[in-house]
Amino acid sequence: MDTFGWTVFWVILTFGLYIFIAFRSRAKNTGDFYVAGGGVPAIANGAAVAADWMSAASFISMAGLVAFQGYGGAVFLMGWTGGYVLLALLLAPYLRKFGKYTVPDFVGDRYSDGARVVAVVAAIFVSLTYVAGQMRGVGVVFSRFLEVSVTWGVLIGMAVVLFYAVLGGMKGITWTQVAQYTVLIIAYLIPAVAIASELTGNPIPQLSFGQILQDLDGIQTDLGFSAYSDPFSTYSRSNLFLITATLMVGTAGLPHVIVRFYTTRTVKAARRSALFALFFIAILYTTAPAIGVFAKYNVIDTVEGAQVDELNEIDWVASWSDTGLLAIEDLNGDGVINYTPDEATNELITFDRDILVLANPEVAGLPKIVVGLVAAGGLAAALSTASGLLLVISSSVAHDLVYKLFRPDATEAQRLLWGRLAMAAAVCVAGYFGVNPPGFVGEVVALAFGLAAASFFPVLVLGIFWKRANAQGAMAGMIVGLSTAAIYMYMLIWGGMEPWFGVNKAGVGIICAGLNAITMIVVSLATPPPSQELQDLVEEVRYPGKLSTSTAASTAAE
Amino acid sequence: MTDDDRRAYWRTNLTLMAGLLVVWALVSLVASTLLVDTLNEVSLGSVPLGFWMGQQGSIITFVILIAIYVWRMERLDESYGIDEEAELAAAAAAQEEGA
Repeated sequence: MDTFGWTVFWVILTFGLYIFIAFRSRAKNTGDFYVAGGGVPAIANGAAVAADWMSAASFISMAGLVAFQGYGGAVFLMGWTGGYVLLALLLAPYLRKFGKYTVPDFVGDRYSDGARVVAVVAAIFVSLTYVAGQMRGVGVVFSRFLEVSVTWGVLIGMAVVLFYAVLGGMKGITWTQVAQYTVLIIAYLIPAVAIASELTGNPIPQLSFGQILQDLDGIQTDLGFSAYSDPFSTYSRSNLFLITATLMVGTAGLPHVIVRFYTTRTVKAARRSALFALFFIAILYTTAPAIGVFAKYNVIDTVEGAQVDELNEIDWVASWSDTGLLAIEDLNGDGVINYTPDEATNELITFDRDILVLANPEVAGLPKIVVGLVAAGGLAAALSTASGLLLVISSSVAHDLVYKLFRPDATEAQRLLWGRLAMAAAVCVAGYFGVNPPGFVGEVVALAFGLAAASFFPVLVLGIFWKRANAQGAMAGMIVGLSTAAIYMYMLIWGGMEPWFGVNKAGVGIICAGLNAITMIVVSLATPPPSQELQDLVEEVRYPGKLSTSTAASTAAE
Repeated sequence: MTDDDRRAYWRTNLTLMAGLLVVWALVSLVASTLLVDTLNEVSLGSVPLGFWMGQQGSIITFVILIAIYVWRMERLDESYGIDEEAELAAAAAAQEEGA
C-alpha cells in the first residue's frame, strides 16, 4: 500500500474507534452533555485533559516551530507545561470544590451576572481563536493526505469536527479522548524512537538528541545561520520571559481545560487529574524538542547541496510541493539547492513549520505505515481539542447566555438546540480563519493563550484567594485585560503597528494580565466589599469535604 | 474542623504552595529565560545546561512539583480527617434511606 492507502487505513480504524465510543456513551441530558456526570476516574480524566490540551499546536506545529526557532522554541515547551503547576496549585482543587459547570458560572456565582456576561464573551473569544488554529491544522493534514487543496482540507475537517462534537457531548468525549490520547502519543513516539535509533543508536529521543545537537550547531553556523542552541536567535531575553509567562498563565486560564476539573468526583481527584494530565503531556513535550533537532538535521542533510532534479523526485518533496506548503527553486541555476539565511540566495524558499512533524517520518525514510499513523495522530489531536472548545462555546451560549440571562424558561431540548447551533456557527468562523490563518498553528494558538491570560487568570485567582475581590473589580479587570491584549495583537497583525518596547504579540498577555489584576484590585477597593454570604462561600472553598456542593450531592444521588 | 484547625490547614496549604511556586519560577522563568546564557556556560553531557533546562529539565521539574503538592495535600487532608469518598458514600446512603 502507498502513503495514501495507509493514511486512509489508520484514519478509518482510529476514527471508527472514537465514534464507536462516542456513540456508546452519547449524552442523555444536559448535565451529561457538559460535564460527564462527575464520575470519571482521575487517570482517565488526566488522559482526557491531555488529549484536550494537546491540540494541533502541540502535535503538528510545535516541533516544527522548535526546529526552526532553535532554543527559542522553549517558550512553547515551558509555557504550555508550566501553566499546569499554576492550575494544579492555584485553581483546580478550589474550582472543583466550588462545583460549577463552567468558568462563566464560577464568575457569575462568585461575582455577579454582569461579570458572567463579560466572562462568557471572553470565553467565546478565546475559544474561537484557539479553534481557528485547530482548523488550520486539520486542513494541512487533509490537504496532504487526501491530496486536496488546504481549503478543501479545512472544509472536510469542519464537517468531521461538527459531526462528533454534536453527537458526543462531554461524556462521549471524555472516553473518546482517552482513546485519542493513546493514539496520538503512540503516533508521536514511534517515529521519534525510530529516528533516534537510526541517527544515534540510542532509541530514547530525550537522551539521544544531545549527540546530534553539536553537529547541528556546527552545520547551521557553517551555512551562516545562528547556532541551533543560541538562546536569543529568535526571541530577545525579555520576550523569552514574557512569552513563557504568558503561555503559562494562559494555560491556567483556558476555559476548556478548567472545565475538565469539574468532572472529577472529589477535590482529591481534581488534584490527581492535574498530575496525571501533566505527566501524559510531558511525555510528548520532552519528545518534541528531540524531534526538532533530528528533523532539522535530516531536512538540512537532505536538501542542502542536493541536485534539484533528484530532490524533485523524492516522494515527500513532490507531494508537499503540491500543497504549496513546501517550495524549492534553483535560483542561481547551478542545479544544486542551497539553504542560506539570505532571502535572495536561499533556495529552500518555503518550508511551512506546520508540515515538519507530518513530513518527518518520510524525510527519515520510515515505512509508509508510520507516515499514515502520524497523520491519524495529528487528526486526533486537532479534532479532540476542537470538539472540547466547541463544547465551551456551545455551553457558554446555551447555558450562560440563553438559559441564565434571556430565557430561564428554556426547556432541555431548546438548550441543547441552542448549544448545537452555536457550535455550527463557531465551526464556520473557525473554518474561515483556517483557510486564511494569521500565522502558523502554534502561533495562532499562542494568541488564544494570551487572551486567556489577560482575561481570566486574575479573576479566577483573586476570586479564590482574596475575599475582598468584588463584581465591579472583576468586570473592570476583565474588560481592561481582554481589550488591551486584543487591541495590541490586532494592531501588530493587521494594523501595521511596530511593537512597543519590542514586546512580541505572543508575550503581551502577561502584561495585560497584570493590568487586569491592578485594575481589579483598585476598583474592588474603591467599591463596597462583597456580601457576607459570598465571603463565607470563598472561605468554604478552601477546605475539601463537608461542603456537599450541588455537584457532590447530585453525584451521590445518581 | 474547628476555626483554629481551619486556619492551620489553610496556612500549611499556603506555605506549601508558596514554596513550590518559588521553585517553579526559579527553574523556568529565571534559569531558563533570564539566565539561560549564564547556565549555558556549563554543559550537561553534550548539551548546554541552559538549553537542557529550557527544553527538558523544566518540564520534568513541573511534574515533580505537582506530584509533591498532591502527595503533601493528601497527607494534610488525612491528618485533619478529611475523607471525601466516605462523605459521598454517606450522602448516597442517606439519599437511599430518604427515598
